Amino acid sequence: MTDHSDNFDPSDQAPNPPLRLAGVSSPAPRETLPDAFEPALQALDDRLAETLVGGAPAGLEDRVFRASVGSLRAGRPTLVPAFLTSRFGWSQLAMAASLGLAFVVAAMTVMKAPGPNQAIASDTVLEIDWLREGPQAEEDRKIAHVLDTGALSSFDEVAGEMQALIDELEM
Amino acid sequence: MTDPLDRESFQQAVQRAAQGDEIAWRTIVDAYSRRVFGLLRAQCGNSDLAEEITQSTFCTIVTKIGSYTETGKFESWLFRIAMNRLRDEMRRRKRQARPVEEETLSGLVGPAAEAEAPPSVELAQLRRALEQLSEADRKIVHLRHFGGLSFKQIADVLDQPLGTVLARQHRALKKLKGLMTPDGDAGE
Repeated sequence: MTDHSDNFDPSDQAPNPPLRLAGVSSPAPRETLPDAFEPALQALDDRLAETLVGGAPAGLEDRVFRASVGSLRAGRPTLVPAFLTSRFGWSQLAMAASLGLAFVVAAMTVMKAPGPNQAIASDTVLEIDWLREGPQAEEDRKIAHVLDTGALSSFDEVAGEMQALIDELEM
Repeated sequence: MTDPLDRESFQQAVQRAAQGDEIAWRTIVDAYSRRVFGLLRAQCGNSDLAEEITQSTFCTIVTKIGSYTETGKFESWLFRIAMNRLRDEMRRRKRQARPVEEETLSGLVGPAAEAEAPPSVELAQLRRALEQLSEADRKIVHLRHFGGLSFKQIADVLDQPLGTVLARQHRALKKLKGLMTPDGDAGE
């Protein structure tokens, strides 16, 4: 990986005082083994610690810094809202939205379409209505017949016919 | 392994780096790059590849540091990214990880190690013994001694229970002891 950044001089641009991270520089203090480890194993672990010394090539920190600082300069890292990085992420939000949409569609469908009971009730009312008998029902049928057949062609004829029916009822 | 006194400074560094402060970012790089490099070189046995992945790791960290919430697991996060990068690269190159380089074991860098350099016979024994550990056990030894991580942090990096990590460490040391003792068994 090559780097093309300029040389970095901390003294040039230090708006804040330098930070010191004591205790995290390399090598870090080694955690002691639990007591359950026999003394012989602890001694071997100490020997490993003395032997396994991790070296680094000269200028490693400079090269790592130059390679990575470009991203820092290119734009400040995007601060992501905490809730987007928590366990309740996009997948959960998408699932909740899907469930909500399905619920709304189902509710609208139920509200719009007449249920089977509603249809039966309407038909029943019509049938019962036709069951009416007596003089009023007879006149209703006559009026309907007159209007449906188109036998009357003028308003006067309709008025005369209606008057005749009324007289018939009054008798 | 940050102690409570350092955590405040560390939080400051992370916050400043997240706001684009190069000084703070430099502080973080200085604090961790050698440890990351040491671990990666121990794992892959190649200094050039280790440095390349170290740089790649910090490039990733710098782009995500804004979303990092300080919970005391920065090191686990950092080393996990480094290990994942190495794993991906090794897969890509279709190459098996090699054991620790001779130069790593020879204590070239640490002054203390130079002063108390063990005999070469012991070094050779140790090298051979480490090679005979399983990859999983060797990884824990490397994370502990090169990465400088605590067992809890190693458990976080490897996504394993703490008890498993301790058991593996115990088994690794026992096997090493057996391998390095002339009449000893492998410690199993």
